[in-house]
Amino acid sequence: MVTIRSFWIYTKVTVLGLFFYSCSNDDIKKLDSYTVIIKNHYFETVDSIRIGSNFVSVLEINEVSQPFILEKQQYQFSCLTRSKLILTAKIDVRGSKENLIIEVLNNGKITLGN
Amino acid sequence: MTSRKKIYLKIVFSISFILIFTSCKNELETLKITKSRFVLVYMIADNDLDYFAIQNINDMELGFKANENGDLFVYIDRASNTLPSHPYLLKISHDTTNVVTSKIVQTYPEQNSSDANILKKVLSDALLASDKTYSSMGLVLWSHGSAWLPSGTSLYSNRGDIFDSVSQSNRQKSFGLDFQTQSKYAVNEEMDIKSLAEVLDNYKFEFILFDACFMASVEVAYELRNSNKYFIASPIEVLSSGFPYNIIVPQLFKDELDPKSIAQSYYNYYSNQKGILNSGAVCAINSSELNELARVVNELCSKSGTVQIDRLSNTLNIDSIQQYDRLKVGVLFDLKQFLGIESSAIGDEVLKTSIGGIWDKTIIAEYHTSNVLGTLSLKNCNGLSTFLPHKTSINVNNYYKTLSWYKASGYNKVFLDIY
Repeated sequence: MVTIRSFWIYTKVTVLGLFFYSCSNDDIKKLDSYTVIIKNHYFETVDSIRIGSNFVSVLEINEVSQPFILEKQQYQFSCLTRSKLILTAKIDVRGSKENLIIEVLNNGKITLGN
Repeated sequence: MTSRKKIYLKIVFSISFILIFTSCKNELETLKITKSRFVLVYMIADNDLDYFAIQNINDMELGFKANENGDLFVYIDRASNTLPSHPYLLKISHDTTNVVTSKIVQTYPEQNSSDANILKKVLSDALLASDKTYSSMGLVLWSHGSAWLPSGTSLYSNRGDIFDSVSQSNRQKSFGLDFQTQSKYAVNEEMDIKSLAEVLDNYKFEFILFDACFMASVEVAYELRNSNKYFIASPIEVLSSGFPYNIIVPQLFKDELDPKSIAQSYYNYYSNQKGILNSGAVCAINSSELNELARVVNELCSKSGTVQIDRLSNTLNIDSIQQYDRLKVGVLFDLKQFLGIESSAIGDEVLKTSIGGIWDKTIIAEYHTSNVLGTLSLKNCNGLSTFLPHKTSINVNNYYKTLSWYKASGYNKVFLDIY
């Protein structure tokens, strides 16, 4: 016999079940490769840019590189500034967005975004 | 609910209760704050001191031990003919080679490092670059120096170069010399002491140390008194080798800072040099006593009456007072000697004793060699300079009147013939 108390219990269970069901559904695409560009926001030209086996010769200030493909993994990034400083970073290429941007910032730090 | 269920729930809650407080207690134990210090060395080396800046950084690497209790950062703005010439921020690590090996943690485009706002930003950047919280902080300001002086006035100094050109700039200048253009004497930017005091006002450094000429001036110390516990500087020229960082860096990180020991290390280094390089003077000031020093000086000035500064006066002949620049241009006089002469002149022995007592509490250490570079005698050196306003260019006196020391000390009651 369905009482008012048992009705609320069943409602709570149903709501909780729907909640976990919807959370367990994975709408995020799993990607294995990404399209990457490099933007130079540094205050000098940077060259000898290397990430994995990809090599970009020179980027002027505010210049953006041609896109290239990177597999999902960690890479060592490095570039040489006009003042002969080597900027390096470990880049973790992953995530749900297909297009990624590596930025060389004004303070010498390197970030990955989309 | 059955009694069995009630007992069961009680047991579950009790266990959870115990677990929560046990885990919290563990977390509290791991949050003990260790005493550690953050020190920034701010080097304005975009001038003729560039070579010596790198030498000093090498010494810092030598002196900074791997297990040092804190972090040492160096901001350096180098000369335009170096690579890189743009400023950068180093986090110092121990090294015994002659090459700077410390990691650059941040770079900056070419900028006027003599702008006090740049110093403020660099302080913030360095703190962000570290991954710790610190129990105290220290600041070393490294460059050329000219005490509190305004634009249009330079003091003869042999540090790095024989440089006594007069700036064409109308900007105030007190500390730091940043050559900004192709011609190194064309446009020079220097940091105004009042601007410096303003940006440092929110900080309370364990120490501020000036590795720059002439900065042990009461006007400078007083202007900066609220931002530091101890003030360490030289009243005379500092030779190009600067402070012996391989020796003093460990001292800068002692839990209980010993400013007397730091000053003594500087003196010992230079008193052991030969010939004209046997040249150094340094003082360490307890900044919390500067207000009291100003008060007793004010009392003295209130009783002094008008003071005429000239070479003919019997009461205050400037040739009889220790000066601190080698050309004796009449800008930097020994403060203690001046106070002694004035208090004797008014015959107030009680006040004289009081001044002596306050002086000893304020100047906790003072050391000097017998002369400056084999020329200027330091016979009457007591470590701290003062300006004695007199008939001179309007720019100097008018600017001097804007300094905190001028009014606090009562100089405005005494030196009435300045215009």
